[in-house]
Amino acid sequence: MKHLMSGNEAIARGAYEAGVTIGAGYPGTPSTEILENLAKYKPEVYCEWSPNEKVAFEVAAGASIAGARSIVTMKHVGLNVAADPLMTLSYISVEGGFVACVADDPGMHSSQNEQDTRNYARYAKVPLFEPSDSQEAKDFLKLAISISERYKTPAILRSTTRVGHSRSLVSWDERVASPNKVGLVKNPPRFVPIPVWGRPMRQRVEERLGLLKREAEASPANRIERRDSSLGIVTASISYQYVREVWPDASVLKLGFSYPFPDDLIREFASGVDEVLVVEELDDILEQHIKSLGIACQGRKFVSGMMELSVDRLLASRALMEGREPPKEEPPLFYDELPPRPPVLCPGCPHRGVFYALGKHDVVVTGDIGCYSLGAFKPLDRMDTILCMGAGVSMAHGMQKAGEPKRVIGVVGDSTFFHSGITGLLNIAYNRGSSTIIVLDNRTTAMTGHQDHPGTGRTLQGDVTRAISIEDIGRACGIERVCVVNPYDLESTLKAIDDDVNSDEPSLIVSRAPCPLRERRRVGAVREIDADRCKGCKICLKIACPAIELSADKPQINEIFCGGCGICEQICPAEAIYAQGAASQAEARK
Amino acid sequence: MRSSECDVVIVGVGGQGVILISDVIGRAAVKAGKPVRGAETHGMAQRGGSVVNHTRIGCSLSPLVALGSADVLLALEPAEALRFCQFLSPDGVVLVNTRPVLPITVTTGKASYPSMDEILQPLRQLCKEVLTIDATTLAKQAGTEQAMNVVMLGALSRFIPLEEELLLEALAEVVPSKYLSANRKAFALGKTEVESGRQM
Repeated sequence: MKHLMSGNEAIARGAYEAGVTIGAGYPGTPSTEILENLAKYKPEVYCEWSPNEKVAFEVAAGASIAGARSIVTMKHVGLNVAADPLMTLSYISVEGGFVACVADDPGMHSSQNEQDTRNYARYAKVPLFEPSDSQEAKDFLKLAISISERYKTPAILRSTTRVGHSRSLVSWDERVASPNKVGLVKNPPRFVPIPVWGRPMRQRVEERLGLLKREAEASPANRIERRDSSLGIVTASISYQYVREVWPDASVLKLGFSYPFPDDLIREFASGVDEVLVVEELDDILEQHIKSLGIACQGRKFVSGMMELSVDRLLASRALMEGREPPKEEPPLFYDELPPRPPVLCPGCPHRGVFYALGKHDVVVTGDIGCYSLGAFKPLDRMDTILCMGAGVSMAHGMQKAGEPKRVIGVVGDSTFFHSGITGLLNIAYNRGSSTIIVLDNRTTAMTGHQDHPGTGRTLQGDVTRAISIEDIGRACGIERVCVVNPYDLESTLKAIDDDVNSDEPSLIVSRAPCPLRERRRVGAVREIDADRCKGCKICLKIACPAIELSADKPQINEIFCGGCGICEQICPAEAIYAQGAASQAEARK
Repeated sequence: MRSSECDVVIVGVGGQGVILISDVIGRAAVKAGKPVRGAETHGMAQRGGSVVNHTRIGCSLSPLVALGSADVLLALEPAEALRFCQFLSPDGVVLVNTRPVLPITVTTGKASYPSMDEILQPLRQLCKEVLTIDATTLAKQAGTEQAMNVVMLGALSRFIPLEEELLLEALAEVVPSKYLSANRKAFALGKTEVESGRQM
């Protein structure tokens, strides 16, 4: 029987079948579900959310060096955070199979940039595997574990949004437990890359690459599909599926074990076709390499390196190649006439109170990555920069030191604070900064689907654990001015920000209220607007609450959507907003 | 050249239950022994934003439906039907839930929401058949407004090559048992609505 699985579920299944016993990661779309699904294979597999990708990578690396099979999961930008251990794990080598499962996001569906993780495989000189559907996601994870273990090299499994979040059929196999015994075999010249031992390691990495190349040449994950010989297409990952639809008659070299490049296989393929086209998403890595082999080929000339590919975009490429007028890449038909539907903070979201309060201050706000990134949109419009995880804290300090004339407030989420906000805070205290940092603590990693983190008191596999206090960390970092506010109480939130902005001391405000979406309940009573009292000033529309709808001239509250947070009630100058039923009760009392 | 038996694009707003519909179709296809592929939206795009799901029954290649080739466009929200109408095949059918979910740009008065006529007219010119369903009201009749997506699934069942029995079996696997009878009722109401609508 076959199972319908997403690519991410299939990677998790592959890890289970391969005898993996340790999984670590940090949530990030489109990678999150890999570890969430692997965690279900408790107790055979231990899984954890680590505070960030570097830590997760090192947890899995430690497990592997001790002999266990392990995987680490992250999105593409997460590998930037984990690049340091990747580069040197390649040198000191692994013992149990080790695979970094990294998910790219061509088209930036849910990311701040597009980057091509294939570059990292070449950079770190480690083997790369690229599945094109869920069956391959499972099979290639197992292949990656076995290659990793045989050649004692870390491996990278690169998926993309359309691999990880697409579903297709998968056949399952039994789990085969790892025969490895866990226990570090002491061997400093192998595991300690001080220069005297590191230089021989460098040699071994190069020798290993040669062996891996031979392995890739013969791997069943790389195959030639001979069809019509007039055009041969070299492709990998999800692009393979699109190629098969757009050029059903063309010969194809489909790469699954794509680095080190299988040069002989590429030469063999190219010699059997009249023309070679390379179809790859994002960077022109294959194209440039094939050209360096002295093989004429086309790629970027017809296939864009920006945004995700699709059957439609490749149909345009094909038309261009064949000298036909390609269909224009037009915006969707009625795009301009339809009201845009941007993502928004949910009704009842505690971040709304903080952004409203920040809106009352003439300050610069350096922001960060999470649900609260949505605070950058109008009408809240209260976030001025986003760079990467943790930068909301560190950049505030840099701006302040540069002499930014306005006060700078850094805003960071709770999970992001644990991820990489702590060192920035430490820096502010150490280097005599004066920034105010607000941690939007909604007690979960909300944007990626409510994962636990060091502050929640629960682990990925459901165990109760110590909940680490953000305030304590702030004080330990040397910040003396620390307070906690309830963001649903606008007056005290405003006052806390006021006080801190007017102080020369660096400060930390923890805005604490759990995400109502995770709690699955309203914050308080549903609110309603008394139409007689409402003066139609529309101030309540400025908080971008999806539950407040403008009908005719006056706003109304959609009672199905209302999260019961009461922020609108607090800002209404006409005092026209009440908890449901309270207005009529007030009337009756008169 | 067709690369699937039936292509369905399901659109709506984050939180309306788009993924559940594709999940049920996927499971039913597996039961019927048909290959199936699909792609969905996660993450940033979800928070109250537009959501689009591709489901391809009898397909072993791309998980994405190509432009102009959807046999059915199932819209849980009317403006979203128009937003994604470029997926529709000229021989396709569009099923529209008539209950709008106003985007923040409309509720804050920055943009206006099109009239039902402004939505349906262009759709009628683009494809073979446009069917409107007040799925939210029907779901209420079935016992819970939350089952709006299942009303639409019932309507969709008339247009996809999967037996009703398999769809209902799959439905029972994905909804909590205490809501199953309301959901079965919702499915039946959606199906009947389409049947009676087409006779007119």
